[in-house]
Amino acid sequence: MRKGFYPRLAWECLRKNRRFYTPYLITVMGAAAGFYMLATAGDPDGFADAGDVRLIMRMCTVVLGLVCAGFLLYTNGFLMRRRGREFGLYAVLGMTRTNLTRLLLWETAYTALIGLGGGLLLGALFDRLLLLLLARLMGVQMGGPFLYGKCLLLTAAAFGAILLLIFFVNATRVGFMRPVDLMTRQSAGDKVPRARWLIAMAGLALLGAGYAIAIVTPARMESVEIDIILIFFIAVLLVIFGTFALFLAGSVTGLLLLRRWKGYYYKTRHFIAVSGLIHRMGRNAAGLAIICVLSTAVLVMVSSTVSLYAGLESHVRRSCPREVMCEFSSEAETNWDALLEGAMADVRAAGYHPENLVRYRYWECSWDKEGVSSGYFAFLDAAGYEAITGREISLKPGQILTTGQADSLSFWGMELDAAGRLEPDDPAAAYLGRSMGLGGIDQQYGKPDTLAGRDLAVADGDTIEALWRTVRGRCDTDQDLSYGYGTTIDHLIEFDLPAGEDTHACRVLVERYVVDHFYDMETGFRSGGRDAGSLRAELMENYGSLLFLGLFLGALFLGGAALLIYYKQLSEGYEDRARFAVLEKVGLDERMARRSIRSQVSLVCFLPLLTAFCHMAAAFPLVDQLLGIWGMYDTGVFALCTLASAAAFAALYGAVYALTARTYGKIVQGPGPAA
Amino acid sequence: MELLEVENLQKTYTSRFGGQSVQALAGVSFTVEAGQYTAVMGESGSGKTTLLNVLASLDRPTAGTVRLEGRDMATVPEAELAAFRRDNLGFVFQEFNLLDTFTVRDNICLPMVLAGRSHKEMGERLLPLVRRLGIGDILDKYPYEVSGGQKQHAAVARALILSPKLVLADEPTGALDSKSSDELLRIFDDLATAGQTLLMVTHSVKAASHAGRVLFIKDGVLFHQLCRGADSQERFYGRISDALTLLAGGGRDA
Repeated sequence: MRKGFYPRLAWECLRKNRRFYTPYLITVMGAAAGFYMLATAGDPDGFADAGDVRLIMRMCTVVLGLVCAGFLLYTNGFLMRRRGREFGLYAVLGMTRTNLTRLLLWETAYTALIGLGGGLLLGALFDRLLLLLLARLMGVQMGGPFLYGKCLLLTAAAFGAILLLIFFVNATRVGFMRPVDLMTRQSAGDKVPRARWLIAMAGLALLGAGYAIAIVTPARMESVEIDIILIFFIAVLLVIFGTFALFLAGSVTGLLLLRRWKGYYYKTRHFIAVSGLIHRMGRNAAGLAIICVLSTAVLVMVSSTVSLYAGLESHVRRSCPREVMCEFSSEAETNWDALLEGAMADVRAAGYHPENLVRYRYWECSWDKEGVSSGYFAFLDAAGYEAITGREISLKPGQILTTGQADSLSFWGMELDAAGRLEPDDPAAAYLGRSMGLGGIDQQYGKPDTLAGRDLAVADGDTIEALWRTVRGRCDTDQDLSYGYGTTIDHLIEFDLPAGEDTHACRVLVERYVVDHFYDMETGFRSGGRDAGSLRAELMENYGSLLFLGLFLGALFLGGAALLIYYKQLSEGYEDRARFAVLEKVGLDERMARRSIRSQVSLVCFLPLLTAFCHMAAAFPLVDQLLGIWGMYDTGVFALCTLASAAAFAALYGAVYALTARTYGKIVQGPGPAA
Repeated sequence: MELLEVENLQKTYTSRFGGQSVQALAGVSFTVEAGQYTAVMGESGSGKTTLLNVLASLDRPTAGTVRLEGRDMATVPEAELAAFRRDNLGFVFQEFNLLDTFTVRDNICLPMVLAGRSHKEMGERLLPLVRRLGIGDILDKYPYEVSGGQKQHAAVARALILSPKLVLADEPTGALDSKSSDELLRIFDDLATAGQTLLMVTHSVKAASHAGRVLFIKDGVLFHQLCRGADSQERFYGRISDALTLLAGGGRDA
């Protein structure tokens, strides 16, 4: 044959089948672009700077790769079924297996060139656009190279492998079929549905294991140290494989069981639906499983990122009980009253209006019991306690109020009397826990507004000073003291500002005043602080980019699911047209027939959605725990965001379904083939 | 007693925009008595398929009436047509029209399930029927797993399961090999002997020669008819052949 024959023939083939190939190529393009973008998000040079986020992005990339492979294999199967007659004709006209393989190879090459090449181009372009958009939104500089060489290679390798796999599948399929089979396969091609107990059971077991991990892990977190991200990834993989196995085998097995129940099966409604579903599920299982996995991914990503963003304000409020917090300490004798009052006067003079002012001293020390230190105490001065809680207390020197158990306490040789008991949930404990960020530091305790295992102890300021001096004297070096005990007493000043006043600038002002008026810099002076405005801006940047990522991936996956649903409606429309005609002749009235087929199709369409909701519900406790990594502890907000995302997703899914159902309706009502 | 009365049946197809109109049936009248085995013959485009569709109430005539047991089919409301078909008529198609999603058993039971009959009654009716048709051993197979002959037997069983008043067959041997055709025709003979009314549209002289009476249709009108009377099947075959030759000759003159 002439040179260049196959390339041209292959091109013609694609062009002739463009009604089916255009969506397919767009799918390849979109998948490759999405894969590349996700890969860059996980790249060390990429914009997702936090280590955990990057790890999760890598996980998503692996999952997306698997899903893309399944999806493309599935759509390819649909395309090849429709082209059986065409290949049969080529075979009848004298093309050998080798010839057909060469034709397929060229088609694959074109698909790779257009789909993969276009995908990479689109991916690089959108990646850049996304970065610019993010940078503009967050008001920050976004670095990173224009092209990620490693990611390009990875995408090309992954999709090259997928397309090659598809080529081998097609070549085997076409190569081993006789022409007559190829030509009639379009109508036949059915396999007798069989109950596959083993796969169904395996699916149930995998799914059960995934669910169990998701539900049990959060409870175990309190006693065992667990890499929650790794656990989450394992659970995700288990559920994905379980979903595939269940859709592939479980559904058919269950339906075949239903068919054995004769009293149920031989009823007009169930009869047509069950038998139709037995065949439909067998053939569409892969597509349904992919829709289900994509839907679950959308739900998890959108709900968690939205709730991070929605929980931002409560996170800020939790971390900053007052909007401005300044912290100072020094080993030198200092007139703290004068210093801090001077600072506040300076603040007022600069035009700020501080309110809810709180000043307190904070010191951590352990309880010396028979020469062995045990139990941590968080000391708060009595004046500070009164300011924080609004309660009045009276303490003599040497007396303390504590949440601890003993009546008299010995701290490194100094005896203190317990004048009374504080409840463990004393408001001052919660306040200090939040202000010091104790709960957040210690993952094991997880709760942000506690003292994370410490006991609260309230004593008057001089007693705390005396205690500190005693402990200081008992210890030879700082090293001993720094062994978990505060080397210095922290002096804190916290206050709110009316809306509109810059918390960050105000905090800087206080710090500068104290530093400027603190003359002895040799004595280990330290200062620190936090303010709501800066924290909000910082979180906004982190959560904002996460939210953007979540919405972007959600849109990407939803688009994939929509395309899949479109394919399903298309293929099922062609199948149902013939069935519909026969049923009518045998005596099923048109209205009933239409209703029966519609209900089947909609059930098949909504089954993945329901399963996805189920997955989301099971994943809820684990994702809730996972969100704690980013400081999101508000389960209520997460639950609300999950419900809202689920509702929004269901609405979008329903809209996609309704739109594609119209295509289906047109096909079924069109002129049917002579059945 | 007359089971089926067809009176001056006309059917005109008009293209959607009212341009061209084609007259498929131009006034056909005949009657079929209960228990009669009738064949309708004619060339492609002669109107025989249209006739069958109208008799099957799949299509409405432009003019004329079809009465089944004295009831004018035109008086059956559109919504009840499907039920009417199910209860009174049985169909056998050239392409079998079995549904691939049902086993042979379920395909045969389909009309009963649609009619809302009980599952017990299905078993009672199904077993003697499939034994008679010789398909008792393939009930749990799917249509795509069995031969064409077996498929057509299953289709016949489906047509008979509700004991219809009239069985309509559209080229039932058209897609079968000669051995399967012979078997099917034998089954039709048995049915006719047992008193089942049959109306079969066919191309095949051999198939027609099994009937008690043959109607010839040409250009939408009843052109000729033959009754077998006491003739042997071979002799009747000869007469039908002669009639067809005549029909073809007449066609050239007209």
